[in-house]
Amino acid sequence: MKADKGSPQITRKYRIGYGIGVLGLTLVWLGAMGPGVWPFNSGVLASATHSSFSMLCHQLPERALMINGNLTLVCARCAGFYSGLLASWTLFGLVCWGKEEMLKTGLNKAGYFLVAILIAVLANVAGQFIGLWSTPASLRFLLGIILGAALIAVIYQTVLSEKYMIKLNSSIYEYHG
Amino acid sequence: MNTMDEQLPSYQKSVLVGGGIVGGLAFLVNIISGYAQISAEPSVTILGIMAIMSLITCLVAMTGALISTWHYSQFLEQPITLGKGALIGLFTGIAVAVVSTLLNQMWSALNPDFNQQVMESVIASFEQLDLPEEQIQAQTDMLYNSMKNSGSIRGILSSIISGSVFYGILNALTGMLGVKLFIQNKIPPRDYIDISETE
Repeated sequence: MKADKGSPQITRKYRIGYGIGVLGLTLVWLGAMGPGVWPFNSGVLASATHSSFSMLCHQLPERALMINGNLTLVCARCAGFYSGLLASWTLFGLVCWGKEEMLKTGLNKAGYFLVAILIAVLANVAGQFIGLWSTPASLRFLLGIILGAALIAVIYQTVLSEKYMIKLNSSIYEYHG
Repeated sequence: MNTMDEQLPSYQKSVLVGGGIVGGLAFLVNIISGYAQISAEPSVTILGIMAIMSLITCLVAMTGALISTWHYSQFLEQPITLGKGALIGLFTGIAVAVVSTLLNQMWSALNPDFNQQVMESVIASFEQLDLPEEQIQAQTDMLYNSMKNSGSIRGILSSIISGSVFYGILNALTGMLGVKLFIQNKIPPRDYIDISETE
């Protein structure tokens, strides 16, 4: 079958990927935020989730956020990171459907942005560790959101590059997806 | 089904390499930070060291898929799609969860008091923090339940399942990054073959 611009097969493939991403990242976000955002309160599930995130976060209670009377299972920065992943994956996908070219232009330098924010986060952690400053939870949460969004921006940049190559090649290549 | 999938080498070995290395590293960092915690007097500094160690673990745990995709790229003569990279990352995350959980269990079997000592030390450090009593109690209960269930079959299974979900999803993201960094830049998309070659 010849793949033309906006082939239903290609569009369907990306939509499925987008949907799986939203579901998966929602699951991670729910796990990270803990019982405070869950519709039910399960001690067993909270313990298992807490244990799983122990390899992904220091989980210090004074660095965690309080939501509906419950502490998040990760620190403020990680909570921001997972929030940033979910929010940016969802938003970029919605923008991508309507204004793909605009998004492609906007994400042109996403890789540099990711490196810059990663350095900023590491500098913040190092400064705090050696006692130069103390960052409030709100700022750590914000830095986490930006870091998560930057990571997703790079991934969307890659996705759009792949789509661009598909469109570019569709006139001379045959689709086997 | 892509007709060219049959020509691609299997990625199982790459998944095991990435999952094995990262699962082992994550386990090592946990053990080192655990002993640092046990051997020192309870203090906020120790919690700071744990924070730094966990930051390393966090970065390491998400690099499993990067290692897998890099390893896989050594055997590729044609590019793969981002979806395939995400799949490699997902399986790598599952491998990380299985390897780290099993290594932790083996360590607990060899050193039965290790988890108990770590928990007591962490709780002692929590009590030095300026936190409301209910927050300290909630955190203590959660730690106690995690430790109580960790040795049982149910605890091991729930640890592997929940770890697989979280590490799998996060490594799926870095798996896509791995395709961009190690594979996609080298060769054009594989889903397409030149018509002139087929006709």
